[in-house]
Amino acid sequence: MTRRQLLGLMGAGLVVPRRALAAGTERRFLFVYNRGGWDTTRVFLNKLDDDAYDTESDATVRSQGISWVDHAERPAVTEFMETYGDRASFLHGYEVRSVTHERCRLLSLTGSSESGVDDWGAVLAAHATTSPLLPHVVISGPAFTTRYTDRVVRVGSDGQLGTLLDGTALLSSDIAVVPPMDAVNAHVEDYVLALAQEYERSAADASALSMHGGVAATLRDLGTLQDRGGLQITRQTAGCMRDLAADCSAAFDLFSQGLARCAMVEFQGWCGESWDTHQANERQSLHFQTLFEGLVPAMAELDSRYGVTGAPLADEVVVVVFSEMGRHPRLNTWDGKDHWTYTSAMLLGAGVRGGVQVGDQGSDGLGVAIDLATGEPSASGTTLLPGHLGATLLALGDVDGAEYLPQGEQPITALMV
Amino acid sequence: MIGLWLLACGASGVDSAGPPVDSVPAQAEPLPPLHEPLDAPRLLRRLSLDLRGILPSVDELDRVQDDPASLAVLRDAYLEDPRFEERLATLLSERWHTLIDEFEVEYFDYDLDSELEYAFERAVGQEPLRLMARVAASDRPWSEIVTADWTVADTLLEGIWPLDRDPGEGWQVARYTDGRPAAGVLATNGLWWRYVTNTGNQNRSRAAAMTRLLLCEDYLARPVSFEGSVSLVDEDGAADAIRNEPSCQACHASLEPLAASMFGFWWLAQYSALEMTTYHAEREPLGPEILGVEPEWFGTPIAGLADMGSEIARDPRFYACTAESMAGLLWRRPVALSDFERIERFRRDFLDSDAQLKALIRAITDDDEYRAGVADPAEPDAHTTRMITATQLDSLVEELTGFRWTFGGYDLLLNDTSGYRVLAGGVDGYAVYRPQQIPGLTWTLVVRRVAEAAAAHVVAQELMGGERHLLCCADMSLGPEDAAFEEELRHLHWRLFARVPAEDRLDRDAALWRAVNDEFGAGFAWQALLTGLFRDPALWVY
Repeated sequence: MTRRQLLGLMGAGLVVPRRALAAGTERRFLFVYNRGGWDTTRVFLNKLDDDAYDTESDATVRSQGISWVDHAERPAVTEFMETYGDRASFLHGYEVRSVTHERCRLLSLTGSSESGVDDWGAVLAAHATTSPLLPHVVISGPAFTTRYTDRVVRVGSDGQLGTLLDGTALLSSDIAVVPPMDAVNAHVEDYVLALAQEYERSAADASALSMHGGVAATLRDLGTLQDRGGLQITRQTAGCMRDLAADCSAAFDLFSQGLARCAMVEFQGWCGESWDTHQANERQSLHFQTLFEGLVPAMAELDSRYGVTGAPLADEVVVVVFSEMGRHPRLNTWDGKDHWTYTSAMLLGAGVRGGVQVGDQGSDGLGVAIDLATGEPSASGTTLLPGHLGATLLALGDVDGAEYLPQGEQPITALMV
Repeated sequence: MIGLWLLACGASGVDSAGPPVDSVPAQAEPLPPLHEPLDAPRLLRRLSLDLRGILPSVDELDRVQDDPASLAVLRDAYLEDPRFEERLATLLSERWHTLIDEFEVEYFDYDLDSELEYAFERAVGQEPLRLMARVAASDRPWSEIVTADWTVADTLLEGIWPLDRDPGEGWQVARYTDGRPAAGVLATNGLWWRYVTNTGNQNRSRAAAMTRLLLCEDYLARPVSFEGSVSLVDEDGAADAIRNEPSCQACHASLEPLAASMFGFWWLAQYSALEMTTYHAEREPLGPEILGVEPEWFGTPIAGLADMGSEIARDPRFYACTAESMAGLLWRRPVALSDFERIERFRRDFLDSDAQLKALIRAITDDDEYRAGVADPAEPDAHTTRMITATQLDSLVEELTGFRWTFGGYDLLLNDTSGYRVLAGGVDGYAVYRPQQIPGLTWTLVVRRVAEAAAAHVVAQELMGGERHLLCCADMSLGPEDAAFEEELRHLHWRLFARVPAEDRLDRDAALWRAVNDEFGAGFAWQALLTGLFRDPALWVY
């Protein structure tokens, strides 16, 4: 049953969903990007019995809600899967179509190699029906935008957004700047907003309206934000790296207040070492352990929060955990693994069918074609691309993906409740 | 995307010594006007911001107001302005993406002081951009960007790389002394530090980057399906597939021979300054050995990078791509298939001028699409307004007020490590590939803070007896009842917005000044008024 079919039945009063969206809300999306290319066989993709893949000899397969590759070095993974596995699904064997990090980042987030496109987060944000003040917040990590640049709010690698908002940015200047007083600012704000609104009203064509409307809208948004007491997104560290749980928490703050529809956070591996293990592939284990050390408290926090309507926030939020590429099935000379164009992603949360694994990689290392509706391998099925992941996310966000998926990729309905 | 179409339709012959010669006569019929053009002062403003990164002077505005025909003269003068070269390098960076904040070799690898971190990063990334800008600014054929036996360098690069640099301040012509071939940007460290490769990739990503940047051909845009028939897991299987599997050959047949010509830039250790600083001519034979193919340029055998540069210079796609990409950079929007006819005209003008980039820029800026001021409301996709982004914000404010937002050796509007480049709509070259086109929240915030800082600076300098950059007539004793006050406002509106203010606007400005003056005095009143004017969207939209 597809989501649309399900919704149809719901409309007819035939089905009562476990997690119905409250009126006035919409699905929100947290993207957790793992920079460098992860080895999916360490957690998600079970290839322990396939000689074509170099895997850990002492790893086992566990099933509790979902099946995963378990190892004593990764207790956080175990805890996560035991606790949340029944809400998670794994998508395997989608082909990014490149093996360079930069190009794969673009491809995995947009489905296209063209630079003039918008990523899934920006598209979802642009179609937000609740008009959030900060549609897509990039707390850390990539964001590709062309058409919807105004919907993306970047926090900055050093938390620059916070200093811009509170004005302390001006204290960091070689030429000493005396920041204006609040009382003076109030006059200036009124003056500038009146000007912007006047330009917006008198815009002579669509381009001018878009431009001046954009200025006026952001000025109004900033005023609203200030009235709400500002925005607290600060960069927090956990030992030698960014605190992933804190970054996720910041995203949930925004979601719970209805301020954002999407957020992006980046995890660069243990101590920012990167997942790019051309040497010493055993470091993947440490990276996964550290990633899930962040995800466990993040999920616990998500479950403890409520959205703007008072409904559990978990009923609104989709979490997408992904990397720009996978790693080669075989170890190289330096016991590392080189880049691989096929990879896996983990989805969980609102609208995601839990405990499901869709797709696979064969002994040839290639992705296996599947039936999008059942998720089962099918010789006449579909070879998965990032666009299929994107189509699924857009469908979960009630966005018509046709405009954004030039190759016509369809949602993987097997992943959707 | 359009580049391929141009190649298919352009029917260009190839001259053995230089740019291709068109065999199709140029069309003389002008294209019908698309939009109502900007008035002359505001068009001059657009030209000045695009070609110099600053606003036109009051004298220049007066001149085109009195004589709109002088626009072309001033535009040509802007192309000869020393700031054009820097501005062009900045424009090109939006496409070449070399101004990244971190390379695989860092300042400390050369024992440079930490205060030089930003200068080091920018110098490296600027090298290929400045080379191209120098070719254009000095009226050399654009083909020299891939054939020149020289590069450009500042004193920092001269001190750390094997360069013989002409004496002088700033960026000067320099020549590598490590025996690298004459291939313009293709022989610069700056380009290949940005586009690195590794043992698995073996220069293929560099070859793909080169065709994307110089030919507008993206290998990844080619439709390829493996159909599950290729074994890539073992090394031999992958190598065999690349050579024999049709789906792999669709790209690799031409990609491999290009990559094979790039092994002089093959570094045995990726993060080693020692390795990455110099060209390794002795490693050129590694290409054929590792990749199993001889170097070729799309079927034509070549001996290395110098030959590759010459082949690019003869390739019609190179000129079509240049026309397409420059149009996009100056239009400040992505190019669409519907733009083909205009771009084809630009290309012809470009080639007719012996491929001088200034001629191409003249063709683009003479065209109706560039000059568009107001579109028919029925055309929702018309692009008649542009938004200033980080680099223009930086140069404009400094020229206007003398304020440049720097801290700890960093230009805060031009980096992301500690600054606001991307938040101000700029391109970081790594995860943000195109400048922002529509104002957003962080852009508005950056503009606000820059306006506040610049206004405070003007008051502290110009109204306290310092050198004047911006103000004509104001002083601390003036108020709205004085004629000089209104004169100052009129001057500011003309200088900032290229507009003559209406009476009600002057009243509004005066009201802001009065409101603040009544509570806090004249100094704060001027600061508030200047902040308001600097935040007026009419300043940032052009």
